[in-house]
Amino acid sequence: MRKITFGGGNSLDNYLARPDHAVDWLLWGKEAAAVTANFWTTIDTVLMGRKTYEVAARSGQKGGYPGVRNYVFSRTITSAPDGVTIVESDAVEFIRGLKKSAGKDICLMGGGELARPLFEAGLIDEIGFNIHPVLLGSGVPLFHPMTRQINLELKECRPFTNGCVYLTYRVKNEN
Amino acid sequence: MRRIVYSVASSLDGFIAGPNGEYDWIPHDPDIDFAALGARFDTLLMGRKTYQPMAGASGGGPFDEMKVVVASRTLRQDEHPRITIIPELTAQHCRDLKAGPGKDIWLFGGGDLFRSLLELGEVDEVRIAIVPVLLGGGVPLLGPLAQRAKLTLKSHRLYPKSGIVSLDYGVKA
Repeated sequence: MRKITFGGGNSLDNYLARPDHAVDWLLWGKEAAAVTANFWTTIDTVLMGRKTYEVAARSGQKGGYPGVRNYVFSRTITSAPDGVTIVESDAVEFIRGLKKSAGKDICLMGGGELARPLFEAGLIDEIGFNIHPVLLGSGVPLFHPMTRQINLELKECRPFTNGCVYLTYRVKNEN
Repeated sequence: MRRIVYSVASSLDGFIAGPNGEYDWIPHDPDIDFAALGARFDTLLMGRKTYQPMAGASGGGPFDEMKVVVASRTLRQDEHPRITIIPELTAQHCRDLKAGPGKDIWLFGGGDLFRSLLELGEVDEVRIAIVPVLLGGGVPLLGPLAQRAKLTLKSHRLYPKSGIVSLDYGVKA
């Protein structure tokens, strides 16, 4: 079964972007780049919601992420370039099917709105976040309200020299 | 100079208590020495909502030796003789507290008081023990801020038995 990892960079108070979607506060660095590059070799598919896709498209990434299949979940986008597939149907059912199909692992990009039903359905296997040394105070939240508690198991804790801390967890879906 | 330290346990999704104020999601990790962690403080500073559930407690914990200061406009000092109530916690109050003799001050919570003091620039250190759980709802770590606060990571510690990761940050002026 293919594994889905929900990942990204966040502030200590759990925002993945400022209210205007700005991510200027993200610190890029060699260590984070190495972790990302390594992670990228394990996946062949990226999932994202409409808003994440639109932000990426505005910053020049119109064709989705290169070298991987991109699925964007939206009922309103009508066309997309090669390499990006728009999925109108129910995300949970589609992704359940995707996990059973052949392929490498899957990366769930932001944001929280797409992640929430997937967490509730027990479809997310791992969480990987690069926690930044900043409190934004407001912004686009990473995690949305859910109906139940979800237990996690810490896999790795790696601090970077720029003050970020990279944490990965396995999601305990076997309640 | 005494320091004000916000030290709390938080879920990965940023809650310091469950929707009904529960703490049962925080595992008991035998490697975490609460006595040692508390030894640097002699004063607990908290908001009313954090204090009220504790108000009736009979004691016997590591907090018995500590002075308790509660920021509240509604609690009456004569009804709570064992604590000090400050109706309006200003930057000056914080500086006076810090200038006095004593050990460091533990900002016990909650998120609203943390936000107020952070906006006043009076929080010196933030220590978060991240518990490996997503609560889905509850009391937030921090209320909305007018302006972002930059932090400096000072240390981190991993507790393998529970998977708790403790991150220690200084607050940049």
